[in-house]
Amino acid sequence: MKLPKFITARSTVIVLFTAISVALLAASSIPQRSALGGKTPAWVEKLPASLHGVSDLLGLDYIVGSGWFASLVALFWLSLLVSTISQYTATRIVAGRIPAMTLPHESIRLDIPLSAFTNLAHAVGYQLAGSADDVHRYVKNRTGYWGNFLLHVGLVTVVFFSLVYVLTQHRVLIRLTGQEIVRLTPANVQELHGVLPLRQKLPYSVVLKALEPRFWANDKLEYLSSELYFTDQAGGEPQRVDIAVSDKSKYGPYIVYQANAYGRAFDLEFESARGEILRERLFLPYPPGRDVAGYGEMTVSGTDFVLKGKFYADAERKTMKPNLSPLTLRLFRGKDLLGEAAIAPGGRAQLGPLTVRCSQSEWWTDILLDGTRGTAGIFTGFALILAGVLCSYCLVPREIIVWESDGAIYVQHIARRFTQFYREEFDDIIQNTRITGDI
Amino acid sequence: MKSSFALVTGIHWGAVVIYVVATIMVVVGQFFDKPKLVRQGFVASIPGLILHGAGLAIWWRMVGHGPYIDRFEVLSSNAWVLLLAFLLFTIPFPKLKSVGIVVLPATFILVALGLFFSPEMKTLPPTFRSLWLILHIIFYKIAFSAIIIAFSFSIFYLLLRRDRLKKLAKILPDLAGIDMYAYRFAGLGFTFWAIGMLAGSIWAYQSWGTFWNWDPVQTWSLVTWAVFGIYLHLRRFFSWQGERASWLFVVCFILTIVSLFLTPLFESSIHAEYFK
Repeated sequence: MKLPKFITARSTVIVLFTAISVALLAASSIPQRSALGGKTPAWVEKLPASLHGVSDLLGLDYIVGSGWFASLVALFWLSLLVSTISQYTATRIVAGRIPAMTLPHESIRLDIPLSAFTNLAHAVGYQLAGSADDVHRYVKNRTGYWGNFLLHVGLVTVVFFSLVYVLTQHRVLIRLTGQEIVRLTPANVQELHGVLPLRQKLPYSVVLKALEPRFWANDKLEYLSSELYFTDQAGGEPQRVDIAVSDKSKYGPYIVYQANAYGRAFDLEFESARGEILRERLFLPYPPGRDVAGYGEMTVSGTDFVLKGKFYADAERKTMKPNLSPLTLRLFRGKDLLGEAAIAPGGRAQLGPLTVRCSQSEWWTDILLDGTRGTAGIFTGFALILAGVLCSYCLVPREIIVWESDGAIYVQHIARRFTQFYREEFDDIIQNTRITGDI
Repeated sequence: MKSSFALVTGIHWGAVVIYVVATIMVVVGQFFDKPKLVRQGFVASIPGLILHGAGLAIWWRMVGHGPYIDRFEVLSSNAWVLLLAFLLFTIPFPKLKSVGIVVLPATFILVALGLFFSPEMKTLPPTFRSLWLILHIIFYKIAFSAIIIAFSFSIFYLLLRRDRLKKLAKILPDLAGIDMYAYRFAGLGFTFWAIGMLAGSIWAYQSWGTFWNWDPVQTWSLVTWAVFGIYLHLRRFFSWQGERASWLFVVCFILTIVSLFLTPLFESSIHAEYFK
């Protein structure tokens, strides 16, 4: 079997389509790194060491970013491309064909001159598309012939750019704390990569200068924006980038997104009875209402203490604006409550066996840098598919074939789809002429 | 603010009254074979549509966002788009007027239902600020209108096959024609649903940097669209028509209702603010 035939064979297409569907189904049912901001899913860590190699080889924790998935998509794309070329040839033939001289049985005889019929056909949108000897072909909605071809081009475009997306995927999730310069290295950001080893170069550093949440009267979030400063190299000139939810910005090869997550980060210093100092940062989500606290918890490093914290936007609970509300902390060991304290930034308190000091409180938020390529192409492809569907669906090509014979004309109506639906249009033309009899 | 609120509610009730009158004229005209009365009924619905549109515009200005969050505004705007799309579709397809006995009552029932849900002024989350969101919603509303029309034809088909609605049979196309109209409008609904999903994924990409995240509303929408695809595929390539196709379309319609109006109520998702 020749390659083009094999690649477009129904069985090949079904196998490829099924394999891609099964892979996508698996990717949506098995926890993937892509859904965890690049972190390895827990199920991978629980696997016996002997299976780690298999999992890595098959890319089971990131199926759509694996080489074998990219190969399947590439083959599918090749199949579509070959099919599109055939579609082009077929459409050209259909759009330009002239019917045979033989009169079909279902034609209608009209005793009017061809010019009179042409005028009637023109009036309802039929244009002469070709003539050969005494056969004439009038077509309405010629563009409609290209609907299927356009649909195929759209499919080829979508699959091609999906492949580009899968190969070049590079997403970087960064948590920023106000005024803190974050050096961006693969070690301290969460990255998600595609199949290709090519990476967009990470900016050298970023700092969150300001975060501005605005609230509606009912305390719901109205607007959230960040003022960021990126640098490209050590000592480089910082470049300001403003982002907000639903208002992304561009920085170098990246699109920078503002995530919805934000809150206050509390820098805490713990001192044990033996004088050991531990420094921790507690990230708490911002309270969702003035009467509701933002809650969070963490394990204190190197201990079995669990620290739970909460704070209100405003100590008096009158506004959503941050208003020096104290941080309430509870220290647990297992289920035992060891101590509870409320401290303001700069304050110190005893928390069970530990002394805790809140050195500062700042905003935190997450941002996303997306350096993936191909998204615009995917959307363009979808637009082409829809244009193709609309073309073949709303611009159904209809033809009237006219044979000149025996001093009369014989006409036949052909619609590529919904023949009955468009029959009335043809009947109206016939009604305007004198029907002399069917043959 | 209270006076504007009363004004919008009053305008909506006014539109409901006009729609009811238009419905009575169309239904009586169709059942008693009075084409003039039917025509007058359709003409009478136009002032209702204008009044209703004005009510929606005032509401839009009052709440500062399009009609896509609160149940009242969602149902009211769905009704408005349904009637407008229907009246526009009747220009190229005059036989569509027979569906008026379903579309006109559906319009005033949707508006009245919205009013019974007590209109609320809801605030817009920051992720809902996008032109693509507006396009996403408009396309879904057009799809919903086409689906209601296709559903009406499917039901007509099933009833006429059982010798019901005989009085209506005179103004309807023949059975094959009814089946064909159901097919065509199902295809139109499918296409606009697809455009709506595409606009939605562009909105998601603009807002969150990801164009699909399998949230329950998205997943149900995709499932519904796929079932519509199966319906069209079976019709085109496996010659499904008539009774079988009509029943399958009833299933599609139920899925549409679940997808548009029920999943946002039961599941938390990025669409969580909508219709609650």
